[in-house]
Amino acid sequence: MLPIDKRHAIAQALVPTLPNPQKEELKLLIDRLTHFDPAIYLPTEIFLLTFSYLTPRELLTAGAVSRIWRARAQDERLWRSCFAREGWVMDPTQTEPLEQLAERRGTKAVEVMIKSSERGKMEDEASPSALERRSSRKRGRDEAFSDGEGDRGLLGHVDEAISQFDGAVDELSHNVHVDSMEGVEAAPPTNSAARIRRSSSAIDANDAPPEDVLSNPAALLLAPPVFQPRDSQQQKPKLSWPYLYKQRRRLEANWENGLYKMFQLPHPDHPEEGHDECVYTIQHTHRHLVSGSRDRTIRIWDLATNRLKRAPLVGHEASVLCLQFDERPEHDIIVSGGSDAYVIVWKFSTGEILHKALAHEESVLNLRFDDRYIVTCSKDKSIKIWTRHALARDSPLVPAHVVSDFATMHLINNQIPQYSQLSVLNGHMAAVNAVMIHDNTIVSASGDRSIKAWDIATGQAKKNYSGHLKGIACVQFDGRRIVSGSSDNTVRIFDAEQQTEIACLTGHTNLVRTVQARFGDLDIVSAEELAAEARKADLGFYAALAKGMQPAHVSRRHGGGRRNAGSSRPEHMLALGSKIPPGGGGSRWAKIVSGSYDETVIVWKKDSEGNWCPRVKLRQHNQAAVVPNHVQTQAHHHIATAQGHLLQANHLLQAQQQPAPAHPPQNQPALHPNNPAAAANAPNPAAQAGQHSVTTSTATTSQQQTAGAPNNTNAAAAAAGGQQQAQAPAAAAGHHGGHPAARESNRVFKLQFDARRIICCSQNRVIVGWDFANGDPELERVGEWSQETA
Amino acid sequence: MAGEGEQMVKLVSSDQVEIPVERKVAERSMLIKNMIEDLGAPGEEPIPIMNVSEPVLRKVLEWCTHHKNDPAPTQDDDADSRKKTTDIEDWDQKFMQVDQEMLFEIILAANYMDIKALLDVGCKTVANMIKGKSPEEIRKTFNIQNDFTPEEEDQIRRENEWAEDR
Repeated sequence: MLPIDKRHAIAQALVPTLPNPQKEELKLLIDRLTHFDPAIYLPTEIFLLTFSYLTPRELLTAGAVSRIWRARAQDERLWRSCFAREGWVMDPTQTEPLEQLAERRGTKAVEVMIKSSERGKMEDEASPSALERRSSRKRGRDEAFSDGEGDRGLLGHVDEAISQFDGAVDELSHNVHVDSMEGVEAAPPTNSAARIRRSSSAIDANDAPPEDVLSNPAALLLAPPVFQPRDSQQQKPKLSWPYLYKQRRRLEANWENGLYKMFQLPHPDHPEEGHDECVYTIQHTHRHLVSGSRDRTIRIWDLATNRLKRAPLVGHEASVLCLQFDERPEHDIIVSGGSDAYVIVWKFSTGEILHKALAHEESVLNLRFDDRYIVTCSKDKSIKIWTRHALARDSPLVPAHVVSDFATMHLINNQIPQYSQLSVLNGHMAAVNAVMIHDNTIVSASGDRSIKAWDIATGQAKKNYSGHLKGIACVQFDGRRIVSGSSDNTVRIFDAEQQTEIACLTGHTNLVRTVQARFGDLDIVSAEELAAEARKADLGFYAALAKGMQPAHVSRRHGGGRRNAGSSRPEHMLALGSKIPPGGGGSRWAKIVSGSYDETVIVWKKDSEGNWCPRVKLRQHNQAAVVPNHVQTQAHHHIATAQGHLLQANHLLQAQQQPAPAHPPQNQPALHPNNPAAAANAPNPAAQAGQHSVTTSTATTSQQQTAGAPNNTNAAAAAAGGQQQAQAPAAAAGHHGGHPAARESNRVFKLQFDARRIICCSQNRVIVGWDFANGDPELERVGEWSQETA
Repeated sequence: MAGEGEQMVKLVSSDQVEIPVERKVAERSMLIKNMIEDLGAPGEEPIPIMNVSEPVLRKVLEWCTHHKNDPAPTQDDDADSRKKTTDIEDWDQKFMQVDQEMLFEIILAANYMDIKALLDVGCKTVANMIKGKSPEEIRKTFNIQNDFTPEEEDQIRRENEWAEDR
């Protein structure tokens, strides 16, 4: 053959002599010869490696290129990785029972169940608690009648079609299983022919697994299937990652767009199940919510039905101010603290009291427990650490600084008994309003305006975080950042390691009483990566300074100065040397939800510059439903429907009906000598005992009218008064000052959110929730399957 | 060490062309590195690279030569690849400006010869040819026949709406 340059020259000379149609044809030929479909040219594994660099949206686009691209773009591993990169985590304790149900009942039946809003008996079978009870059943046989396999049989897999016959026979002999499938539209097949007919009618374009798309070009997989396509019946059913990604993304979109359905506890049809007075504390899981109220009871709610699960738990002699529970059978515990200064340990499953102890000298304002310890904090300014289990004298769980105390103590069997007090942390100058425990660190927030991080081993405060201008009401610590809410109306984020303030969120107009943050760190993000990002922001700051930029006012004394809500722009930065980037880092789905005495709940999201912005502002009730204080001689239930949302009933408190508490005179707290009405109207005698004897006595007579005690300017005291001054209508509210607002409020006391809903309790007796699944059963499911991470 | 670095080995392409190359360069390939360790007497026996033709092998060795002093992959690189950025350094970008056949052949060779960094660069290059394009533009880029009916295309478009940013 001629050398290349000769052949090239000849072609160049020849082509212009051809008529245009032939030239066009040549163009196509050249295209075919020089352009190749990588999906065909490259082995699947390598082609998927290129796809691993695409974003979810790009993957969807790639899936619209051709059938083979579509099949590749639906690869499970790709979407599992996409899911993880969003900072989302599935909870296997929620999904495994479902996958096992699919193994027994067939994927099709479970798919129908998942897409149905009705929750029947089959649902119970999928519950984690039913797992053990079932595991002994004849799984081998059950495997044989998965509908998923039936689908594949229909698509030409002869062997499986045969085994599916066996399955049908098997199913006949186990009709009892099928009969119990309430509310699920999958009729039991009476013979194999019927079974095949059912399979065939069930197969629509959406249900063929991708492998079959290639062998059977007629079938096009549109929406991702709920369960992963399986190559053989040996494979156990697994939820499909494209499906999970899509539903989780849709759920997040509802958060972004403020699409939700409201619900309430008690159920509107059963108002008698509700608390009699305001609710100070709640915690919830996917299944249950536990609430603690001024009515001294704790109530356990079933979130599937919004009904009370058992009779109220009675044991506290005054308001229940804080609680935490763990419903898992191996824990089965509720720990509660009250303004009676008691801590009570309850058995979650039965409601019985396991332990009751006078834990503090004054109100127990907050508590947290982990597998090892219960940590309580109090208006008495102390934090105490208790052991959850009996400990050997020399157990490593005994904090080092008290080992010597226990060494000389007489102990039966050399054991430190369960629920013993291990150590006391003193150092705060005012009430300790909130605590968090994380590994060997306890983080506390106090009315003394400081946040402290304590080392459990040494019992010493190792770090101090300042920045808030007034007392601090709530705190969260995820091991990297501390997020706090204060009566200076702000939420602030601190770098736990470097103690720097990395964001200040302004938007509330009154004390921020409760906050939860979820940064959505990817499991792959290391501290080093966050530090690198932070360093980059610092370098940008120095570079801008070199160019003559005026730095933002760093002084914290200038309360009026603009704070940075998380921006990395050099002119906005307030702190250098952080190990966490401005705003705190995290995924694009990071959110902070805060609840305030301004009666709003704000969902904060980061904008494109990294600034935390109020994205959704929620109110528990329709403004119009607010009833003026003076007419409230009874609780009012106003359920109104507007814009498709259930609007909150406005329950009004009957503080007047409370017996006037005794008020033992007390000294004012050292730091706040002129602290006035902070605890005015404190919900109970014990709580008030702290610092506000003068104003409280006034308050109890004037009730709601005390809103804004005239001389109250020191809002720090409000938070100092802590959780229990909740009812002091305006102790913290400078803007009410001098104008007694004669109306009830929905001051938010405590909230918690998960992937699907925000639930909050407030001065109102009704607990209110916003469900961002917005009535979509699939979103409800994916919300329940999701695990909340830091 | 210096002496060992200068050491030469002989590679033989699939089309039987012998290419002498510095051992350090060749050892960017884990396949070759392992073979040399197994052989014991490097430099004497030619090493067959059975699945790679001469032009592709020369191109791959060009990349290995430029990257012969790169540090061994670290944890950081791992984290980087998990984050799936498609940034490619300038030299690599120029290096990858080849026709599609060569590009895919380099990727296949990198896979066969176990040169992870080159495989990654190759896959990123292909990913960047896909990114930001419409399905039709992607088809044009790789000369792919559209085997969807217009109705199916429409269905897919509607199905994908959930991912649109609002």
